[in-house]
Amino acid sequence: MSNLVFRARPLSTAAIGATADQVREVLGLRDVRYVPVPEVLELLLPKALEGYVFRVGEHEELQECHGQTRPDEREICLRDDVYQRMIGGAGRDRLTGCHEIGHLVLHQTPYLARRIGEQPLKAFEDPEWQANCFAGSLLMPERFFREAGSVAVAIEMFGVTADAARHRMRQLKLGWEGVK
Amino acid sequence: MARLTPFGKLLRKHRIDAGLLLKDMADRLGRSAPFLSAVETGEKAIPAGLVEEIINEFALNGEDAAALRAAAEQSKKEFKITVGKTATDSQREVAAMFARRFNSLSAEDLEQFKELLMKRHG
Repeated sequence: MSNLVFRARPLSTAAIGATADQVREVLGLRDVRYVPVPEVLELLLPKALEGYVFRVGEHEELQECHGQTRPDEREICLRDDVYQRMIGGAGRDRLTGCHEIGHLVLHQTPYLARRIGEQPLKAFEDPEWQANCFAGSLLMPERFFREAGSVAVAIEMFGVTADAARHRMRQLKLGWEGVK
Repeated sequence: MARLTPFGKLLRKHRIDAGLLLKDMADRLGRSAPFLSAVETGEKAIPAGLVEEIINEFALNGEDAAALRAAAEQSKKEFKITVGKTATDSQREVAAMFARRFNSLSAEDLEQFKELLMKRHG
């Protein structure tokens, strides 16, 4: 994917989490456990961001990409099958929707540079890592995540996959029972 | 690049006011979400009948319906009459309105029109 040639300004997990909190605040989602991702993309962001466009693309256009964001154009596009599953509540696709919001918020031009040379990216300057980190924080804010107490509860409460819940648990250094 | 056309902007406004997703609107109109997206961004021309289907399905009042029709005219990409690339929005609107009238003409009228054009432009 073309994203691989970009390097983002370095961002810590904490900085990205704070940005996700700000986005929740702006969208009036501060106290919401289960983020209504399709409504955020289609009903809230257009009001919050002048010039923002959400669209759904055919498989032929996006091919192997689940979503595509042009931060400077303020455009998010999801592949049709991903879009439909996201509306159906599939955790993976809900995460994809939030991942794209992460690119939109974090990766406008001054914050994204073309990579020069072949040095491997550090995670904290990799736009894909940053967008994933943002998605996890947006769907599972730390203060609510601690309440969940188990992966099973977190999956239900936040509408995420088991993988995403386990990853968040490790990130927050929580030792929930039965999970490594 | 995706910018919403005037029609796309207005359609989205109605959708947001009604709290509907692209999918909801697409389902009710019997179209696909990517199709509606493509129409909103002007990648696809607004198909004949769609504007009236929307007006009926969403029971738009007279004023909203008129605004949607006007926006659709302004957004039409495929004209029967070629419009220069430098045409302004209002020029495009005029040409589109004319093209629409052109569509509703009878076969005889079309023949007459063709003859008229031939006379004028050789």
